[in-house]
Amino acid sequence: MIVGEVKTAAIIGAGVSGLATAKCLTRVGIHCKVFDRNPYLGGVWADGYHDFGVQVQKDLYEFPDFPLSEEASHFTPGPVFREYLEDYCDHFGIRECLRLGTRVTMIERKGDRWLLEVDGSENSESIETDFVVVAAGLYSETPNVPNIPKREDFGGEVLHASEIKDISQLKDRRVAVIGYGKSATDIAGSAVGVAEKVHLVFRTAHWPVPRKLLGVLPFKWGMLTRLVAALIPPYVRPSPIVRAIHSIGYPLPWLFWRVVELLLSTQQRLRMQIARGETLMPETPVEFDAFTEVTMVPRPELINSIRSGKISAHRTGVSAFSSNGIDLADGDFLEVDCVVFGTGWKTGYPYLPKSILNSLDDGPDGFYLYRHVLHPTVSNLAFVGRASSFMSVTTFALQAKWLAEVVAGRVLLPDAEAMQSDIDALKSWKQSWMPEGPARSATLLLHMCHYHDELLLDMSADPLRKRGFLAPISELIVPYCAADFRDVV
Amino acid sequence: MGDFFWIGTAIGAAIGLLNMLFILSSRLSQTGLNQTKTIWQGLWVWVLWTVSGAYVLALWLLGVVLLGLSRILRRGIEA
Repeated sequence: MIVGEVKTAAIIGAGVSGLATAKCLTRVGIHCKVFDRNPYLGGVWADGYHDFGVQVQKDLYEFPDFPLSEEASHFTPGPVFREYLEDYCDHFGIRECLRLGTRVTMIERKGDRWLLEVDGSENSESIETDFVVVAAGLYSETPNVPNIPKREDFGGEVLHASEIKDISQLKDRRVAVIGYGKSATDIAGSAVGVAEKVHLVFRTAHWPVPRKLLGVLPFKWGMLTRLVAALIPPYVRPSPIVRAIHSIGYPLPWLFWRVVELLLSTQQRLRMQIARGETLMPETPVEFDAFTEVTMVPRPELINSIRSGKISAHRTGVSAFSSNGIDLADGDFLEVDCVVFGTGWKTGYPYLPKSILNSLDDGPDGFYLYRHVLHPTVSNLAFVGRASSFMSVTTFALQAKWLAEVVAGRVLLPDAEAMQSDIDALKSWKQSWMPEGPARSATLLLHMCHYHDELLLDMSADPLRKRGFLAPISELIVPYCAADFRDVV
Repeated sequence: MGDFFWIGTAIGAAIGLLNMLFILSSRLSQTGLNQTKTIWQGLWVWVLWTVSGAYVLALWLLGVVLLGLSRILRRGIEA
């Protein structure tokens, strides 16, 4: 909800969403300050683990109005993407908004305005502003490290994936990587040939999506089209006709997803045996697993490394540390001298006071927002980048543009009651079928095109982005890329 | 075979018509949209449903059979 005239805005986070927000708000005449605890911009791209990079093709992961260079590789390496963000900043003249190396420690109300406590490298200060945009993504800066008994007994080193800046840190060591997401599998893959022994330990298998389906077709063609989006549970508030078609027609999408599973498992040989006769076959159907937090497009060599035994995979939990290794829940013992947790980050916003989190109705799913950006009960506080999508940069750029249009009064919000009703519908819809998780409130993934449609319609822009005589067919079977949204943002 | 093809085509045409009407009703009321595109999209959707109706019906029937079998198998395993 926007109250009063907005002249100044504080943006927390100088990553993709923070920069996009600064660009859009500046263009509607708002004086912005972008705070980031890091001394350099980029957010998650500022400083990652060894050999980190974008896991989707570059035409999906770039700003619609600022394409990556032709020379950039198809899967953009992290440092290249960070440079690209620097260029974006200069191109749109938002560098003077940046307050890097400053950590926002507290936000509180001061009348109709906000008061921010900010710690810089040399001094602390209080800053008043009309509007606050939290653009710090979904996760906090606190590593999510499971509490495993007897850690103090372990004689080796325990690290979080984010601490592996150079894979030589694992040279000639016996390493257990815990987790099955992007960072865990990247670290395990990179450690092959460097470490003496690499174990990958995970409790739950997820469907890994290969970069190319059947080794030929980029995965976006098989997973990110409107046709595929029509084969998942219908988007929030479906019309009775849509609901009826999805009920009667259910065997059709069911068949489609079983064929997808067959292709994925055959191509990647997920039925191969790993430790204790387990396999890499997930238990959750792919159409639901695709909405968990661990959506993975692994590097091609990962599955080969597991198959060839270069990575020893264990599908089980870690029950305890011991002096020279870890005890697994399946009874095995791994003798290791380094344990790396690729288990992600905790969700949360430590600078938001309890009163605001209560107003946002923060719960086990996180908090639900109107259009994933605003909440009717907390005025002049917005979230950009609190949405998980395969095209995050485009999604965040659209959110930033939408927010700027709202602040400028060109997009009118419904009343608080209607916004709350929309939020309630979103919440009950997600809770009715989407897998549980601390970020469920922000999960879009295969539904991202429907969310983009909402933002575009609010801005009186056409959700049908394809052009030309055969545009209707392209709309169905050709995946969207960032460039399709160039004239909107 | 011929009968199945025509039944599928007729079902596809009917669903396509509903889909077209849905597109028209949801887009024609929106401001700022290119309504020529709306009509073009609606017509194409109707044509595609009609043309592919028999194939969609065949896949749907295959899905019904396999889904049924999978549920019976699962019940057997659980029992």
